[in-house]
Amino acid sequence: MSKININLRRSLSALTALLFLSAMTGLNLGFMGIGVASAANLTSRKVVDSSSALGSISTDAAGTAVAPGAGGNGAKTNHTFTFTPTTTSIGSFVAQYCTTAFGSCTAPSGMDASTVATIASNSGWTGSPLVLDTTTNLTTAPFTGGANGVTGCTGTGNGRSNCIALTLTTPGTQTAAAHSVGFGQGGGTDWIKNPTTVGDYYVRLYTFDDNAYTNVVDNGNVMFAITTQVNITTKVQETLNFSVQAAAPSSGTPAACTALAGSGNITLGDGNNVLSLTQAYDNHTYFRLATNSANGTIVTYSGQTLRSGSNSIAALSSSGGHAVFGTAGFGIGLDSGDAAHSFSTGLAAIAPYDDADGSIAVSNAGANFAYDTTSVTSPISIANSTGIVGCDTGAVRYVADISPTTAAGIYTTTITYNAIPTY
Amino acid sequence: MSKRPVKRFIKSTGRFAVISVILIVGFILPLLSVGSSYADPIKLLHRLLQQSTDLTGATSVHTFRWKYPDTELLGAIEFDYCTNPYANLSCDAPDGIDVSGATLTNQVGETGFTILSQTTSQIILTRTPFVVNPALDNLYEFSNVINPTTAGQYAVRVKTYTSADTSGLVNDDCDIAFSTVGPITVNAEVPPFLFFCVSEFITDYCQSSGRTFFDFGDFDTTQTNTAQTQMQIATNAQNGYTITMGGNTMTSSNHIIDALSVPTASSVGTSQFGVNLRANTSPAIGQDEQGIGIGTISPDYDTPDLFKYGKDDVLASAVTGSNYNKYTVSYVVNVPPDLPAGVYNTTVTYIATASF
Repeated sequence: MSKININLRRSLSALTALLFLSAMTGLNLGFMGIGVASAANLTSRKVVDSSSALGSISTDAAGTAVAPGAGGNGAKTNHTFTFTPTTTSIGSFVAQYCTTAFGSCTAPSGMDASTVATIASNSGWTGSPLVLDTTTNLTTAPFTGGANGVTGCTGTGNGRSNCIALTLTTPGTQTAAAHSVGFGQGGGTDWIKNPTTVGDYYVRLYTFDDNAYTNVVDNGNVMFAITTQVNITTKVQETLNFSVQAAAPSSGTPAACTALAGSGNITLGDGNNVLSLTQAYDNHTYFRLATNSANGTIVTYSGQTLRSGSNSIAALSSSGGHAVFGTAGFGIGLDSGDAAHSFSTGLAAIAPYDDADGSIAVSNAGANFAYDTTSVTSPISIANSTGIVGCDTGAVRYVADISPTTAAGIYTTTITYNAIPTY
Repeated sequence: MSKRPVKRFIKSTGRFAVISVILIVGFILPLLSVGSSYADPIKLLHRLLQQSTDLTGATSVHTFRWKYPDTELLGAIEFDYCTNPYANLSCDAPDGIDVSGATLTNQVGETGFTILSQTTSQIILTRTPFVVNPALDNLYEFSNVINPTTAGQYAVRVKTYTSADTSGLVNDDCDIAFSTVGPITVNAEVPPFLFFCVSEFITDYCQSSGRTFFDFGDFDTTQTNTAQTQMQIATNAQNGYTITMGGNTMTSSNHIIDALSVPTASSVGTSQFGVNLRANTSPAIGQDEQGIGIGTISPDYDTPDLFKYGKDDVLASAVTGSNYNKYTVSYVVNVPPDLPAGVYNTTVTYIATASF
């Protein structure tokens, strides 16, 4: 007896399991909302949306408009569906956006696909061409009462706020290979507006073997997510990196724009720093500038000509000139021929200080120099930029000549370079 | 329930409402405004700081220029000199900066400000609050600012306030970067020099010359015997130069040709030896002084056709440093018929002396 009871218990357990499985299967079919039990699955299916931003967003954190179809624009997106049909006889297709995968379809809040005006792309389809259907009412039969298993299309355009439909003029046989169809990238208003609430959403895909949406042959869900965008805000403060030194820095623009920190003393003349009537002598100093001033920067100099007590070596013309042997003259200019000189990130030399790269071996020829002693009270600009300067190094070339009447003595001058950025 | 407690309730409720409105308008809204101002500070436009000198430790004039971004209420401006521009970091004063003695020496655009307070690294300007004109270019110039003593990058944080002090709302909150650098010093030496050369002819500033020996050949008693040499001189001697002539007249053993002791015209058939530094016509020899120097010929040797020879006489001089001058010395020799035969010669020495 007890043995019989045991067998009965096993049978009851098996029956219970079978009933439970049957109930779950029925329940699943009910969630799918599909009244046609014979529908097969669309396989290898996916949806690619151009943006996961909210449908209310069309600008970035700075308020700058983001182009339609770009990742930061949720108001104008494109969605491309890809799937492989199990049943290859296809006459029409519906993509239905819902908040759930199964059961009655609730349109995602704010979602709007009614502006889709074209089939933006397609591949894998054979036979009759695809036609976007914008006229069939998706809120009436056979889209009601479970006639074709698709219910819940709603909104503008006869149910096209959350549904997109297309037909093949003549239903035909497709290959059992990947098919894709894209919507919402035709320009103008031909876009899809994403849901306006963060969340996970579902697109229920249906294929029909006729072009009147009567008989579902395949179906399947794909998911997409609408997320909060990451806005990154930071501050970049005003910067000015300006430095000078006498020694030549390494050529080229250093990655870190290292400030020049060497001595600022130079000499002019022969090995004993003595000037000559029969030749000109030159030397160089360097300045380096990096600034993020958006409205430009000027580099100025200020200082006297070479002086010894009350005597001085006359400054070369403020409008520029050559070194003339036997004629007293002191001048400066930017030497683009110097290996360390590099104006490549914004700075430009200002005439007449822009032509000191020539030879000084011949009197009254070659390199041009200038000097303006009014710079003592009104600094003179020798270089400028119209915007930011990444990192530029200027080689300033100095030249001096003397005349027979240049009084003997030790001549010196101190010149100050300044960078004035406008933010 | 009597009517009195109800009235009391309404009365007290009304008071509460009034107090609430006052609190919201007078306290909470300004707080929101402040919060907004700090969260996204407005920046002065086209702002810059121009230093009369950016030398480390120098006394400088700092001139600020900017435009106000909007028609905002303005009563005070705060300038803070900091080692960094970052508003979220504390403002550490740069080493050596000192604006405690700065004075507001100029203001353009929106004016009427005076210094409310100042420390070594901060200046606050004040005036009666008013609404600014955003179209104006504004300038505020401070003299007697002691620059930071270390070369580097610094910032001035500038804030504007709606009140006449810094207790009001902040309108603008921004930075202006500036830098200080070391000086560039240029050194050179000019030595004392005296350029002087003598020869038959001189070109290119003593770069080329001719002979220094002259042979008159056989003296002719019927015409004047002549020769000429040139000398060029330049010096940076501040007290000028002199050129003197040394040597005797022409002699042969104990026979001499008479030196002209005073400026005298050439006379054929007489015993004469003399020189001058001019272009002559009788005889036709010599050139006038050339060059851009300031040298002058001594009067005794500066008359055409008159010649003299005085040992150790100064032929030419300049009172200060002088650029190049070229002098041509003309020699005339006349001999009488009874001049004893012999070889007559002389060596004339020219000495240039510069006074530095």
